[in-house]
Amino acid sequence: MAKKKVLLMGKAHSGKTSMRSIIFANYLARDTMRLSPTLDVEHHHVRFLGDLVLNLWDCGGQDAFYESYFERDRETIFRSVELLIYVFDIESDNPEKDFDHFAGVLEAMEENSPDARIFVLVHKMDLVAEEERELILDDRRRLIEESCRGVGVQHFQCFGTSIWDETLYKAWSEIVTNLIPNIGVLERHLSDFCGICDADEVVLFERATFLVISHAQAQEGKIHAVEETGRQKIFHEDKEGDEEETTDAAVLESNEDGFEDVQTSPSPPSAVSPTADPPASPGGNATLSTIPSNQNAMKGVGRQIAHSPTPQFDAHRFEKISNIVKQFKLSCGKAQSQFQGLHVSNSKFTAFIDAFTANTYIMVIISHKDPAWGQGTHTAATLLNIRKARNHFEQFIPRS
Amino acid sequence: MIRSSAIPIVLERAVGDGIHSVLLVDADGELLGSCGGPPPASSNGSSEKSIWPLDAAFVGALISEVASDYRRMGEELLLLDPQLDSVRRQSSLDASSNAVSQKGVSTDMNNNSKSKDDKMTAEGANLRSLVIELDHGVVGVASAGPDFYVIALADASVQHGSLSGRLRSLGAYVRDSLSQLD
Repeated sequence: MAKKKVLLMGKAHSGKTSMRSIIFANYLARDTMRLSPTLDVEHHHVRFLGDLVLNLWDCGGQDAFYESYFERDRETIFRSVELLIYVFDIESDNPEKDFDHFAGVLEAMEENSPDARIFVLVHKMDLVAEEERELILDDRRRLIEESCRGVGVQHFQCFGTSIWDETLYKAWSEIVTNLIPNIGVLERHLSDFCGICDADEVVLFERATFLVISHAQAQEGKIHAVEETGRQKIFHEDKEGDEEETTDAAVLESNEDGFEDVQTSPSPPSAVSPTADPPASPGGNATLSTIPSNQNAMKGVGRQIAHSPTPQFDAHRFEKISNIVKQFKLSCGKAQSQFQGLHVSNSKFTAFIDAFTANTYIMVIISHKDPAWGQGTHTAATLLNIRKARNHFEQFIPRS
Repeated sequence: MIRSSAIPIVLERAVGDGIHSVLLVDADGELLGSCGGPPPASSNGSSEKSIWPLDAAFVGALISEVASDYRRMGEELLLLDPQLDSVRRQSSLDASSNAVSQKGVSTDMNNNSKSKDDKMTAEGANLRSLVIELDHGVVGVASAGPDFYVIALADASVQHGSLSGRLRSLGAYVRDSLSQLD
């Protein structure tokens, strides 16, 4: 069982405990008002994604505590840290002191845990007028960058957050994703699953926190299905990039061996930056096992078959969905019901959110490409695929 | 897993010669895929519009329910067969209950049967094909495994034997493919 030490620091009343409570303890935003100030350091062991344990050190932010953090308990606090999450209160009345503390923390981290990843959250952004948020966040980011450069810290990530909107989920999704050891493997297989289902997007959420841990998106079509005299021809690209025509495409199925043998095309963008360009990766088209009678005909058929370009989606859709569905899940709990899944359908798409492995939920988005009679991807096929994929993904997301 | 976009291409094999649409549904009536379009307007020269206001999913659900009823009737009739000895009757009962309880998993009635006779009995309980002649056309149904049906909607002029034969072939083909899911 992997244990990761996560340090949560920042000035008093900046919102550290509130954040932690919402993400890991199922608090609603309004419930955090009754939280009392944290005294010294509170330790929380949070199980995440099965066998990953986050050893959360929620450090009180009063000045007196900082003295002990930097002096007496310096090594105890700052040693063997995997992640540092430093929280700034955007409405702080003494920002200079905040940055002094921040610099002190960075120095201690450089001494004791130089390899730790650093995340800075500029919190309570809801208190800033919406039209000024971008400007203020950029300004604060610049100051943080200066502080980091002064101490010699090269890499950090900065987010504007608020417990009253989806920005909290975006930041924490990015934070916890850094802790998942086999995230690349997971993303690759999720990408294959997306192709098999002919889905526009597939998103994996952690079960308890509903944080996004992985995401796959259909590639914009290099390949399109072409109708010709009532018979469909599917063009695909083989590894050399030459077009080949095949007919008589059959139901393609994959078994566990088929997944292991898959070579993927460039993996899709990560959940945090869904609009970023996907990184290149080696390999050709995904190859799935086929039914015996058409194996030769279908060899090398890629998962890029018949994908029309997807429309531009809201860049914050995942964290919004995390926020909404988690609230709904908590509401179900209060009504003595257990949330199992959700299907949402309109004229443009159908979204399936379903329990997936023991520690995850999956969301599959399928757009309704062709409104003709009976066309498009059907609910039953998608649900069947989700059911069949569970056992396979359990290999990468072990049970606790 | 099933590649949804490939299902219509497989079903398209049966379309033609009077068969204008083919559906693949599961035993619960959920539509997995379809090919073709709604039946054309009546060809008897009348000006009446097409009588198909329903989507393929609704048509599939209705027909699947009818087919399931026929299948259950067949299983019950088989049990009433006086020539069926008690051993075969029990294995047929076991096979039927497996088919009902193991939803989404191939019942693999062949593996559960202990003898060749039992195997034949179990297979005999399965619906093979069904042809329903209606006022404005013909509906054909064939089993594509214990949990799936292929359904064809055809003109009134189509030959029943041809329709049944095509559907059975298509059903066998789909059954072999879907058995790989398990």
